[in-house]
Amino acid sequence: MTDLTVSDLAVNYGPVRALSGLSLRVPAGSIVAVLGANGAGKTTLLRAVSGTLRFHRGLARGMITFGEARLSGLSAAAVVGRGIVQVPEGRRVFARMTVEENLRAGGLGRSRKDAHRARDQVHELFPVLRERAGQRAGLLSGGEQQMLAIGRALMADPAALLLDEPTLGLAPLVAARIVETIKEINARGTSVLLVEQNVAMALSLASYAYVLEVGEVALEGTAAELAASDEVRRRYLGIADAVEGQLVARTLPRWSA
Amino acid sequence: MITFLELLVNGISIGAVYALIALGFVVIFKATEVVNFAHASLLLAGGYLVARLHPYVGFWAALLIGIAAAAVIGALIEFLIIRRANVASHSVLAIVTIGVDIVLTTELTRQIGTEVLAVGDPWADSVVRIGGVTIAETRIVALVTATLLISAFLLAFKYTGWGVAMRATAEDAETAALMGIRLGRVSLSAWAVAGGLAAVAAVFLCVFPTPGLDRSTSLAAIKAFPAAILGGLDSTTGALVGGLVVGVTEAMMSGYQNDLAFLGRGIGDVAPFLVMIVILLIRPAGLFGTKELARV
Ligand SMILES: Nc1ncnc2c1ncn2[C@@H]1O[C@H](COP(=O)(O)OP(=O)(O)OP(=O)(O)O)[C@@H](O)[C@H]1O
Ligand SMILES: [Mg+2]
Repeated sequence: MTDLTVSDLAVNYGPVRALSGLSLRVPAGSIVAVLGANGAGKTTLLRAVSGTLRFHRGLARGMITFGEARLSGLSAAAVVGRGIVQVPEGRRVFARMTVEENLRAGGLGRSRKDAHRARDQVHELFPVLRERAGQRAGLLSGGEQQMLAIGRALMADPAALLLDEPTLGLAPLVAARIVETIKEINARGTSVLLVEQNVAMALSLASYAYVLEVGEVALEGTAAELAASDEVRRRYLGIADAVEGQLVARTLPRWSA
Repeated sequence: MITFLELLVNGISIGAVYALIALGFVVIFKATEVVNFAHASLLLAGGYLVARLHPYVGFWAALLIGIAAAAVIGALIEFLIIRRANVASHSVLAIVTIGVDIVLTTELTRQIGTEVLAVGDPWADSVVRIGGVTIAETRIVALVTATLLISAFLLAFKYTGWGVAMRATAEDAETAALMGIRLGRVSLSAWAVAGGLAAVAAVFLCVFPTPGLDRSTSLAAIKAFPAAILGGLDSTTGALVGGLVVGVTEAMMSGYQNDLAFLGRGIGDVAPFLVMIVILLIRPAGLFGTKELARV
């Protein structure tokens, strides 16, 4: 099976060191979360995997592999060719193109027939994208844009999906909808590397999680371990001495109320 | 009235040719955000090959070779220079293209010398009379050809995978790359298409009533710059409208030169630039553009 493995990754933007000595693994078919505050280096990690550091004048050292294939040094297009697709932070839909054209842009590397089939699946997952097919993507709501961004990435039929803060700025109900979709996508066999600041949500989805602090892994463990850890509760869930039930009660309302 | 109609048709025809040039200019800018100052030299290279080769292989074959060669030269500039120039800013790349332009134009002008080369087109100096209006055949062919090429281009831009990749890259190159679009290919194809269009335009800049291709042909091509800029550097519609505005303005100003004598001789040559300046003062991003030139 194809695991995504990052070992001893260091990234610099000029003189700024954004990541150092970072190692992590996304086992095939799993959901792994990467948590951390603003500026911890979460987006940088995804850029290193997807081959887009060069757009930011960033330089990576270390090893990134997907199964047997080495990803380090590949162009972004080549990484997509290996089956890894990133949904960028802030959705980044092509605002001046229609919803349909956005989806098409995600499936350009595939045969017409495969792209058609992929589009039907995306429509099934997000019916609103079918209804809005001819509309300019810039006119969609934030939630619809996030659905489009995910749908567009799915057009390439990825084996692994990298999601950068997919619920950022979304209303709780819409965020919950995205969470459900991520589960569904994963259930169809796609591995997911999920970057989030919403710790409660991420831990409810993921089986394993890493906590980044200023470019290094500060903590890692199964989602259950981290959710139960005093440190995570204190620092990321804002709870001092909580029992399990209270943890759920106090964090869930943030995104499902 | 007759004069006016003749001037109008001639203006639209030459405007359509400017639009071909401006379109290439805009495509390169959209795909790579580089302002290509080497465009006039690409055009000159295409025209030069047609003029040199037609006595041996005939006009049509020479035209095809000229188009292909200009496309290849464009692609080579992208592949060997633009892609490899490791500079942070697109303005620096624009300056690099000025260097390329100087090198290419100097060499071509040296080859041309003081000659005026015929391009060997089959229309020569025939004219068509409709009512009292006399139009050169070359002007009609230019208008039809430019219209067909521009339509084909716009359809491809709108409906083909190439067009989708091009527009996605123009809007957000990093995200396009994340979707698996090969930016190198997009950029290479933009330069090649621009080169090919410029070669076609070169031929129509050199046919009747122009005596032929000479060292000043690239100056004529430079009038397409205001066309692209006044329309909006990142807008294909802008390139078309800009081309027509420049063509018609130039034709009218030259045609009514004697009535406009107070503006000075040669106002037709200057007019496109004046129109551009006025439009940029009112709309800094050009008529249809979204990006201001200052931000390039
Ligand atoms: N293009 C860049 N040039 C220079 N430094 C950068 C660049 N992008 C990020 N950095 C720096 O790298 C560090 C990590 O940034 P990164 O964007 O990866 O954090 P993040 O965890 O994704 O933050 P956020 O939650 O705000 O998205 C920060 O110190 C940031 O200032
Ligand atoms: Mg980030």
